[in-house]
Amino acid sequence: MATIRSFRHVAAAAALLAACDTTVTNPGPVPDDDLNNPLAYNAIVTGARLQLARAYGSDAAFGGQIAYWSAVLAFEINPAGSTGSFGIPTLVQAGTITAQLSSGDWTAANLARFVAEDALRRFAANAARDPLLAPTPRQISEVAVWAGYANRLLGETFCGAVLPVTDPDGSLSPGDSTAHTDYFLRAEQHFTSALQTAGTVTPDSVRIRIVNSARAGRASVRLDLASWGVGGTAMWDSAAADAALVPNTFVFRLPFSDQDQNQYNYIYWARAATPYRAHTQWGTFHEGYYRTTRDARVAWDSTALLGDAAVAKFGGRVPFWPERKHNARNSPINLSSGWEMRLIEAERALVGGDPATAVNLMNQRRTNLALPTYDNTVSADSAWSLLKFERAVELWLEARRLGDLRRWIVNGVPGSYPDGLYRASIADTLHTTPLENMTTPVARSLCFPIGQNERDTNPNF
Amino acid sequence: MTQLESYWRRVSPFATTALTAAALLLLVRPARAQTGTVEGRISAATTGSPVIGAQVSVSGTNLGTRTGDDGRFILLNLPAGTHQLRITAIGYKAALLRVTVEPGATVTADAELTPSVLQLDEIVVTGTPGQARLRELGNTIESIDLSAEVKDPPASMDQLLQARATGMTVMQGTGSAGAGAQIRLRGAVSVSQSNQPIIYVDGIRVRSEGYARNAPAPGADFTGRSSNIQMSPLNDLNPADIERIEIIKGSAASTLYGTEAAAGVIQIFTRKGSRGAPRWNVQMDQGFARLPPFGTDWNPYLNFKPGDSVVLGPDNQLRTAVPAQSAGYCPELIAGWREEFRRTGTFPTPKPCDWLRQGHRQKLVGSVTGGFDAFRYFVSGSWEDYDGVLPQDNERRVVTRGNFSFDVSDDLRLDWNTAYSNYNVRNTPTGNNAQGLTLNVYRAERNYRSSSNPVVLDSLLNQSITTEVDRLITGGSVYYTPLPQFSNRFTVGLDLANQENRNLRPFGFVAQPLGVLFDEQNKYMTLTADYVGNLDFRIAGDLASTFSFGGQSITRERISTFAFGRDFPGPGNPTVSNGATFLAREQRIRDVTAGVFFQNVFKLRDRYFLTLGARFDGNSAFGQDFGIQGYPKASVSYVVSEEPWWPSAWGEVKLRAALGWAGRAPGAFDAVKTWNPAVSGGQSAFLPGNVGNPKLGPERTREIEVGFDGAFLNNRVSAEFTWYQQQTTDALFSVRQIPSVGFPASQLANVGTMRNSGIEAAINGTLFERQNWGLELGMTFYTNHSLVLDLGGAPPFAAGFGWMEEGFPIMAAKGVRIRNPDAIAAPDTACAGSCASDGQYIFGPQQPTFVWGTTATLRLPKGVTLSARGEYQGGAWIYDAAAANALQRSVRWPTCRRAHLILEGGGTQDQLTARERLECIPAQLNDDVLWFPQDFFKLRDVTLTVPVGAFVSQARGATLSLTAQNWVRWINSDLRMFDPEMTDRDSLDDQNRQISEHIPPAAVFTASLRVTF
Repeated sequence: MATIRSFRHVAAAAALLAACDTTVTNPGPVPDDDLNNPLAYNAIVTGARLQLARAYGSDAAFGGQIAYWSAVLAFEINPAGSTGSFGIPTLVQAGTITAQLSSGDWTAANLARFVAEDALRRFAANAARDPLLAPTPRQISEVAVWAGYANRLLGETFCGAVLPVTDPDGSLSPGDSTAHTDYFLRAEQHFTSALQTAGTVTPDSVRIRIVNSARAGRASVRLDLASWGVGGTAMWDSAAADAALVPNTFVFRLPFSDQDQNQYNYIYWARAATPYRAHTQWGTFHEGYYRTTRDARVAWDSTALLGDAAVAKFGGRVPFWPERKHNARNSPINLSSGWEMRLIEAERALVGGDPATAVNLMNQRRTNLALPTYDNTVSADSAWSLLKFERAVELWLEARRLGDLRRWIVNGVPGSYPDGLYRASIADTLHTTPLENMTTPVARSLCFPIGQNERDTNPNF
Repeated sequence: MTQLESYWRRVSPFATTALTAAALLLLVRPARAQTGTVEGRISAATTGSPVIGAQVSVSGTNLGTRTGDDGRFILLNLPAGTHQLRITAIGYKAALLRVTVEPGATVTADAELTPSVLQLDEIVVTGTPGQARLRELGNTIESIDLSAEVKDPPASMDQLLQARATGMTVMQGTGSAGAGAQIRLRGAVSVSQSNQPIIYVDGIRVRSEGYARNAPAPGADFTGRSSNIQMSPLNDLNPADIERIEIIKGSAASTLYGTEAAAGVIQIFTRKGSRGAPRWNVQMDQGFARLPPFGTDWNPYLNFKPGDSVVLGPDNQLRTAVPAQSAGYCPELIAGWREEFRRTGTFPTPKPCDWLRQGHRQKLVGSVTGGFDAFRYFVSGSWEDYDGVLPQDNERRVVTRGNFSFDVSDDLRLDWNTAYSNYNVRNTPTGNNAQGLTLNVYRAERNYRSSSNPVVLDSLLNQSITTEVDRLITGGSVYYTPLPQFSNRFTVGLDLANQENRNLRPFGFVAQPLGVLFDEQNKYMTLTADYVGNLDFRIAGDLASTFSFGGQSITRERISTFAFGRDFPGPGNPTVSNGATFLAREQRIRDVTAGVFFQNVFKLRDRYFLTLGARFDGNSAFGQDFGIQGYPKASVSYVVSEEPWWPSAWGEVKLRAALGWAGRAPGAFDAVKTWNPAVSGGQSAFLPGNVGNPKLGPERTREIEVGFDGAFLNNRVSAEFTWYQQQTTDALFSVRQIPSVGFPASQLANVGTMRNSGIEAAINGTLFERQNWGLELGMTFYTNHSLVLDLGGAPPFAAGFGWMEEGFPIMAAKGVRIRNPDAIAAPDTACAGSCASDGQYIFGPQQPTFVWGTTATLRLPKGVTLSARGEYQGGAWIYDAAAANALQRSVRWPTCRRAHLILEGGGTQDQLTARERLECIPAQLNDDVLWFPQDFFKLRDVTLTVPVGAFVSQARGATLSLTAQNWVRWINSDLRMFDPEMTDRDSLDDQNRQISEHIPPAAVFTASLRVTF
């Protein structure tokens, strides 16, 4: 009898333990379904912006170094030491980026596109499901703008495109490798969508900002498309038409934050001397140009410090003369500006055989900066060279230069470009003509290859 | 409400239930019948000497005690009647005594125990539902008995475990204060989850993963701004409190522990009280730590002791092993010395750039044990103060423990054990830390301070890295034996640790002039509730059975809050909120594993044993589409030497085989598709988190092991042999996602299959034994070969500093092999033989494939003993990331000295070896060549123990021990610098190891006086 009673107790204890509920809800990460609450939409939109900033360059786990490393490839900065943390890999220092090295950038840039486009899909699906779940026009148009700029970054940076295919059930399947211009086409669609939706946005100040940012973004990708022969003259015209509607004073910036290292401006942070001093203006064409002109667009600081490690290519440690455009953890990066629009109009004019108009457009900016203006009677080739120069200084360290050089070099656009190396070693003086440029003595990477991680995982490769 | 109160509220339902049940049972028990006393003396049959610590238990009850230093025991209040006493002791065969107790009388029951090296009747509990005799087990179990160990006072649990068990590798991390050791049992069974075995203390599950590294959280500051060491929770225990450790090494034995146990189980039993007058133990240790050379011959301490590179030549001229023109290593200092020597004719003292010291170590331990009637106690306390070899390194620890046993009645016993520890560690900034001392000293004038001047580098010490851990482990077990054939055990326990990491670079710090402060508070909680029932019954004739069943719930929780502030207004000792910018983070993770199990042991003639069992688990981290997980087991044991036909001259032999499954659960969030909240410019944001996998479950490891235990040559030699094979299926791999489709990077999925296999052998013998002289030798041998069988369709990928590809070792070392490293020729790096799919060379595994251990104990007259333990590990490869990081930055690395002298002397690379060309010419650097064999031998300890009781008045006994640990070492010369026992940042939890900018573990010398009153 005692045994039976004991068994009963034991069975009860075992049942108690077996019935333990192992369901646990941990705070922190948010389940996907919770994002379907309209109160979460603003954070979704901000997430698209933040992810784009991480793709441009941050220290986040899935952050990229596109703005930083593309600047090295295009001679906008020179390496000054570190190759690992906060540094520039030896291969990139030498002008080459491989698929292995670009995997992180590929992930970050695709993630920026995905987050924005996923938001658009979510907004559309929720609105179709229940009108009470519909987002505001402002939310739709803002996230479409971020989707447009994410696609532009991919198109101007990477050698090719891989766009996912939307299945009938709404899920995504891996796509094929296609031309990088597909990103520009996709960007153009997003910017157009933003413009269509932004019309009802209030207040006016917000609507105007969204419209200008979308229009400026669309102008820039139409320029890209036109450069690559997509859309013919009409595309050039539409680019210039968009650009013409954006005022000089407009600037659309991608913010960074000094609160969180994951959101620091990476170009600045890599040279913030804590203790990394990984890049310098020593030996770039900006070194001499700024010394001579004091053009504020390419300002840099002279310090008595050296870079944080020896650079094999230069035979030791080089002077640490950091750029000043990104001089704080939270320095924003310009995505578009009215002055860029003038250069788009100028490029359209050059394509149309009107160098005088092109130079006049360029001179607007130089006048604004109190810099000497160019002679508008120069030849077409010279005007092209001036345009290449102006874009080099206007869009300096904005992750745009590599895309420009690529479209000009590959498509044989006339005129010369200043980008190059102007000092050979630590003992060398500053040269007036580049010792190296994008094609000589070795052909440097003009774009980032599609990441090795895509090649390894996408069955379509 | 305090933290403790909060946790008590959670645990109280369990504890209250147990205590209430105990109290009620106490109340309802009938009045105690008339009782008597049994006392006696247990001695060795061969020598007549007393057997210390022998367990004397009354069969069919919870009553029992242990013998004291004189071998005597006393059992009070034993009910009148006839009882069977069971006497067991390590090293002896069990004995049974029948005694008849008369009311109010004292019965004498002496016994002589026959030595047995096989110890088939030793009781173990790990891996079994209740207690089991070794003869019943089909698996191997390592049992480390420390109950009588007075000669070897290890400073930490890590050191205690080194070279103690076959199949277990205990690899030290670094030489920094507080650095924990990585423990692996039969290699690694997972590439994505921790391979650290789970740990129980007195039946309570405790934390086994390392404590959070004292480093800024991601997002706050670069996480390398730290000492880059990981502390081990195991080291919160006081080794002097440990009575016994049981280790089971794989799934064949750990099935009943379920989802968490694939990497093995270590169960620690602390000392218990025994009846009798209080017995006091006091132990006083004094010693020092010293770092053996770890650099090259001419720069043995990698610039940490440049004085060692300076010698006075026979012509009385100052010479340096560092030619002035190479000037890579403290040139300012050497120039200064040269100048001072010329002026004064003497060496300057002290050497201002000597950052290494002999770290003073002291420890004080005290304990008292005793008991009366139904109550026994063991209370202890220890205090230690260890200086490290680095200038700021220090550890201070206080540990107290109280273990209490109550015999509530003949059939009900309650054990309650509580330990509290306080551990303070102060560290020097080390590791891959650009603001740290080691990195900048190693890299000399090409460091981040652009100087090797000691004054400049000393400025890096103006930072404070302190870690404090308060830990409480408390819990109890109720043993209820209502019938002799039916026993129950219910255990509840709480392991609660609070850790504060504080990391300050103050205002004025050279690399962050406005200052940075990071403070992290971690709370770790593990709550155990465990029930086991055992029912013995006889099936028929000689066939008996023990049926066991039970359930277990383990709840683990970690709460972390991080606060970070920077840019302080001025000097002073700031708080986080003094900063111009500050941020905070919070993380809470809780997971629950709950399961039930059953097991039946069939016993035929007490020599044939068949065990069948299974465990069924649920876990909060499993995907929603994943159900309960089952883990079966089966084992057989056959004591063949007890067959009638077995000639006794052949000794004792037990054959055994076991098969079992266990698992490893994924992380708390791995199964769920999530988004991570973030902030951007003051606005809330969502970023992609986890892809999610609703079908996610544990990885399952199946293990089969076959072997034998034997004692031969008249019990003078014991031997043990085991062959094992572990196969992990549904292995959790981080499967890379397609970047263009969306969510980032990777997602855990149950896709892979891996295998570990090898043998374990041990032989121990008494070479000779006389009354005053004796020599015992022991040797262990262990192999482990791992293989990736199937990646589940995933492409090869990097994991744990290693490479996962089918047909190669788990987390293999992959890089570039120089086929002609020493030839004065162009490097030949063409891959041949063991080549990965990407064309690189697979060097081998990163876990040792071959471990050889040896022990020796020499007994000398007057009770003096000299003992030694040594360990060789081989077959593994390690990556020298410290060299890679330096060479990438054109640092003048000592291994390139010859190349630098040639090149700076006008020579060309044609005069360099193939290896020098790839390592020492920056433009040609290929850091994939920096894999090296990590073979080493270390004399883990040498101890001389001398009885000194005669010199201590009123003492029952006293011993003086002199111990040297890890001083004698041999390291494969291919690893040109450092030490294989070095690691990166998270030394315990990292899947593998690599050399980072640390110092190697120091050797420790200790004098210990232990007195018993």
